[in-house]
Amino acid sequence: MRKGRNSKGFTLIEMIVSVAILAVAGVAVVGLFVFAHNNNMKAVDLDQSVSRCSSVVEEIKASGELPALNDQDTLFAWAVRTDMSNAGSCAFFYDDKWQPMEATDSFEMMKDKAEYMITAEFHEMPDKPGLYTIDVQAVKLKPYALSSKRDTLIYSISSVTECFTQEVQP
Amino acid sequence: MIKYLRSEKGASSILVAMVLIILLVFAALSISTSMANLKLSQKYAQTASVYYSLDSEGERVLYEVKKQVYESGLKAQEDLKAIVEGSGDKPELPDEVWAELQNTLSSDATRGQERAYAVLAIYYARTALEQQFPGCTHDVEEPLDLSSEAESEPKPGFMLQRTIILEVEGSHRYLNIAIKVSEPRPDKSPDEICTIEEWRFWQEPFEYKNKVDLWEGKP
Repeated sequence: MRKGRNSKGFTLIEMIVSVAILAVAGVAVVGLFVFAHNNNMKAVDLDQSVSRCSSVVEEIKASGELPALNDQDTLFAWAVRTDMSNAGSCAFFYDDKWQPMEATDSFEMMKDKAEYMITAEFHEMPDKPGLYTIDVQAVKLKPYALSSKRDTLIYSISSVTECFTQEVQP
Repeated sequence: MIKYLRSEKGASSILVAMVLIILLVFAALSISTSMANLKLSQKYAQTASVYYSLDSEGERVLYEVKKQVYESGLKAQEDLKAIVEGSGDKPELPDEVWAELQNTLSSDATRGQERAYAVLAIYYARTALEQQFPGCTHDVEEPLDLSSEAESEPKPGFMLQRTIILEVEGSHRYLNIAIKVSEPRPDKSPDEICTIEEWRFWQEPFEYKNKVDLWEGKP
């Protein structure tokens, strides 16, 4: 045996165990990064949802009705009717950068293409004519990283607006 | 050199462990930053939700005021017809309202009826709203008009003031509303009769719980 050469190395078992531990630890660390990334994404989505949902509510309140979906002067130019039999509901679609998507297809097809959706419902209260409810919801249609859950509700606003227009006839 | 390269002391394992520890530290920092971001966004979202909750309650109050003004207008029209024509049942009114009605109706035929309608409509609306929101109605304080020399008669009307309070995580958020109901006429819509004088959101002053002794820029 030559002098100065250390032959007390690790055995194969030791190496396998240590590499396995390091691999598990590495995966856990990557998982932490993904968790942080998802949190950042959720924060951005929440900020965007709040501001976009508020815009929809304010637009409806300002016009006192659900604006016409082809009105180019409002953000409703991008809206799609969610249900053809229901005139009081519509949806907006956004890509992964929260840029509005033009309403070129039907509701179901837009839902497959888009990353985010905002739905708006505007209904008169049954027992209070002239008082309307506005329900707006922001939904993430595609799952976050390392998750399989689709259609996650990000934010919702419920508001009420009055449009009492009757006159007493002289 | 060869001697060190042939070392079997597991230096690479230590290196990998070090890298993992550094990654772990960065991951922890990243998570704490992202949690702070998410918390801030949740606060912002909560503020917007609270705003719309309070605003919705305010809209409900405004709706009730307009509805009562409209219904009172209809009732006033019917009752005035009964009083003027002497047909149907005469309404049950307090003495001071009767006295004011008699006074206005005897003064001028057309203007008197208009004013009598306004007096009746305001009386009915105020009584109904006082039942719905006790203690919230009061007389309108009209500013003194120094430009006109002629003494103008007081305009029939009242003010409804209400504060809506919402408790959020131990602190209170308020909405102050003041709606002025004045000079009703049959050809006016409730929108024209009711004026929003105040629609103000506020919360009590608070201080940030700042545990870090920040340098404020003074030497």
